[in-house]
Amino acid sequence: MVAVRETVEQVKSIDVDQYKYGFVTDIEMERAPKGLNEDVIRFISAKKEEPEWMLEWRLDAYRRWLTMTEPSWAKVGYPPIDFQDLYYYAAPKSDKDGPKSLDEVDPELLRTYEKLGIPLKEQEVLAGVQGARIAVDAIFDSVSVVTTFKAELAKEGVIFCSMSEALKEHPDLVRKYLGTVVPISDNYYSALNTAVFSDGSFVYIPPGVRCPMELSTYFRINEANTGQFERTLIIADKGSYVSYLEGCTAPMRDENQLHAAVVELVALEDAEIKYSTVQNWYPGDAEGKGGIYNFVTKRGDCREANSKISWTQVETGSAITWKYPSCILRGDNSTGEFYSIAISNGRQQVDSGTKMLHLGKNTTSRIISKGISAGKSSNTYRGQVSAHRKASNARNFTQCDSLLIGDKCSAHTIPYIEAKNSSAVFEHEATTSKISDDQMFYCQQRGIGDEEAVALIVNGFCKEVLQQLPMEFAVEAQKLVGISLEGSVG
Amino acid sequence: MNVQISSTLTAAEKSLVDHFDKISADLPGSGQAWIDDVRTRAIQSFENSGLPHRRLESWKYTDLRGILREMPAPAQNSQAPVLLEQDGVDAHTAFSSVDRHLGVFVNGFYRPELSSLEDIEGVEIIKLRENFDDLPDWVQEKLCNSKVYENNAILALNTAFAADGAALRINRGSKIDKPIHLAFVVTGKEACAINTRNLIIVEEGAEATVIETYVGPPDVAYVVNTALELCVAEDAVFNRIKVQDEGHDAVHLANLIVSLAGNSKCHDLTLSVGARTSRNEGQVDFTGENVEVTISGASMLRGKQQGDTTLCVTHGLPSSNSRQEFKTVLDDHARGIFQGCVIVKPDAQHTDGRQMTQALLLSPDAEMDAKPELEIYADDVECAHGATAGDLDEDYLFYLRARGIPEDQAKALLVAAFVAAPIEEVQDEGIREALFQLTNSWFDRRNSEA
Repeated sequence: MVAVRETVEQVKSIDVDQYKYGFVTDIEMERAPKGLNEDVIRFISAKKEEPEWMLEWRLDAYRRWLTMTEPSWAKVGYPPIDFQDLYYYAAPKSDKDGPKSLDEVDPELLRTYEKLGIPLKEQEVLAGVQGARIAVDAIFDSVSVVTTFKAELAKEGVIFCSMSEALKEHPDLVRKYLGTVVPISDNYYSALNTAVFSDGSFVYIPPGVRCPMELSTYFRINEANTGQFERTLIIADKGSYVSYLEGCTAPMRDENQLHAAVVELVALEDAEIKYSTVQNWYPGDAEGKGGIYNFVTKRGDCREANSKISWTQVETGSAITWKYPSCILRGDNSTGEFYSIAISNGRQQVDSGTKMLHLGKNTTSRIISKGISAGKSSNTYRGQVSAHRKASNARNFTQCDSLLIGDKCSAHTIPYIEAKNSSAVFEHEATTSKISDDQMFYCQQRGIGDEEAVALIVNGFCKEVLQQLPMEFAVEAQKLVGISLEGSVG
Repeated sequence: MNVQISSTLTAAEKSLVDHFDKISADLPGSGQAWIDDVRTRAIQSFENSGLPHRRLESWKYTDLRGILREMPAPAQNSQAPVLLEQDGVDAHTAFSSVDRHLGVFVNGFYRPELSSLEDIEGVEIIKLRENFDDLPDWVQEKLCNSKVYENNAILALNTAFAADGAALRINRGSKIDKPIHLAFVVTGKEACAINTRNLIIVEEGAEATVIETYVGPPDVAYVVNTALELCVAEDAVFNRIKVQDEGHDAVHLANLIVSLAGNSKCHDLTLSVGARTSRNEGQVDFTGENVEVTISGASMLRGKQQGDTTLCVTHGLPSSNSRQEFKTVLDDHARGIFQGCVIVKPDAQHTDGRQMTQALLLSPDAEMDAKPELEIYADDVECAHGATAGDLDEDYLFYLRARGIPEDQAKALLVAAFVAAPIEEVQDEGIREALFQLTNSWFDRRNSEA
């Protein structure tokens, strides 16, 4: 009940425009010229002091991107994006020489993250009441501003740093794995990302190491007219384990902003990666003005035997979400999991789901997706489960439930189930319903108000997914569930 | 992802257009301005789209453009004698013991001497070819409706080429004594293209059962394109059983367009065992409330057969129930496809939509692709779908074998049980038995053909 009370308090304390991360930080920024061409890519590459092969890779991606067309199959509608009307690189000026320690970081930036509830000062984290320690990589527009707990992680051999740093310090590792899960021409937005990505997090867990703390990246879009293109690469070497969290927010602006990220996960033999996202980009106002276009490619590769990749996502923000965290189950006995809560309100459009590609023997996957639509929003689950001819004994269980709140919203389920192997066992079930009058009556009878009751029921509806989140995130996610649905009843 | 493909036509597409130019003058009613216009517009619509291919989302798994490399010429109306009762079990003989009214179409043309469709009480029957100069308004009106083949190249072809077919009107309040069996038989050794168009109108409060069967020679690469438009009025009850048992080199393309009025009940079952490539496409719409509809089916495929069921049920009005239940058994290199969609529009509150598709893969080389879709725009609804795919349960097999049943027999038993559920819901006992005869003999037929 504590969580419920918190949810309710949270809801009450916020007015109609309930997005609390909508402030803008006034900080001097350095930007690339507006628009996209080879020169801009060279500019970004030069800015990052990248090796020659990276520039070639980017240019290759750019040239391929030029030949591609924007995908139109998703159930989302938006005016055409003018890719020449964007800034592809924006970095806080103070970051020019790169801060050596936290003390050198622009205090304005630190205050921003403080305001967002992300403690970057290690001592503060240590003093935190919850006692949990999380290493954070904070990404502000196009660059990583600070990464905490690096020294402590290094003791275990864990590499956790920004992508630009990784390119300088661990070029071989990066070159070996970058682009191996999401190839250059995988899709329109991943090709764009490859051409212009500016930063992101890089994680390498050495063999046999269980990462001693949660790793986390916090993405913040601040500048107007910029797109954020980050690239995350996580490698879990043999027998290692890592849990990684991702959070995102952006200011409230009237124009739409583009976020096209690529996340690649590689799990080697016996390794496990747990990737959790709480996505809370600015969703636009009640009339659908503004908000982030979130076009993200996330894919994990269970490359060797007995590996496991688990995606958990809570999607509450963004005007448009187009996101399909997937697992390639290549190694024998590998496991893929996908737990998702997607909440849409106002005029948000969500088209999200997963792909489980069973290639190895005895591979298993599990998909639990909960979609909640309210207001005038549209919420689509789109998923693919396929078993290759050689994927004997592949198993999948899929459950996707949709909950509709209000009569102006819509919920869709579009699963593709492809069994090319007789020993594959696939089960898929989906339901769509609304909060029943009985459930509401039961709560009201016990003195619980309408909005409280909805939050309670929705939290119950999402329970299976919320349980998968790391403790600290679960609380935040529960609050988010309540906030996102504010104004949807009555 | 509907991609506009350049207008260059493939050889098969070109020959379709050429065939139309050659035979359009021989089509029934040719010379009457209205039908000439309907046909010309339909073939033009086909010329613009060409044959469906896998880059069209609804044809993702059946690449018809790739499958139909050549298009045989349209069948001729010959009066050669035919042997209807074959040795062994097929879709035609299975129903011979059912007491029914029979209408036989050979190579797509009605054969009165083989049929017994005259003077059925409460039913008006129009044979399209025979009666074309004197078509009643209710038939003409439906044939003019070009809306039905928008975005449906197969239906456009059917509209352009249909050379015969039956139009049935079940009169208000009539309860038809026996099922009406429309048997579509293909004979001959020459590959040909057969296009039939049928229409069934069930008036207020009427009740009827219609059986459709499709059989043909095993090693002729003929192409059947058939369409049925079905309109069920208020309080009417309609049952339809279709058995597709075409020869194993044939291509069978079928379209079903259903419109259901308030308080009507409709039950549809399709059993597919034949054809190299088959596609059953259906669209169901409601024009009233409190409709109950079940669209079900069983496919049993082997060898290199490919069977595609694509179905879209649109709830546009409140308080209706729809159910889709499909079973697919796949052996050898067979491939089963199910694409089902339930759309619930904003006004369709209190809808109950269910959809279930289950597949049994008996061979490591079989493949099942399922895409059960829900598209929901109303909040006070109950919708659910399920999809499964898997092998026979080892435990069941063991149970039977432990009781002395040989493996083959045990498998046959389990397969027959797997597909039994939708068939058991057929109310007419004779029809049910005929269907079971077909599913139960599937294993034996497989062994005898192998």
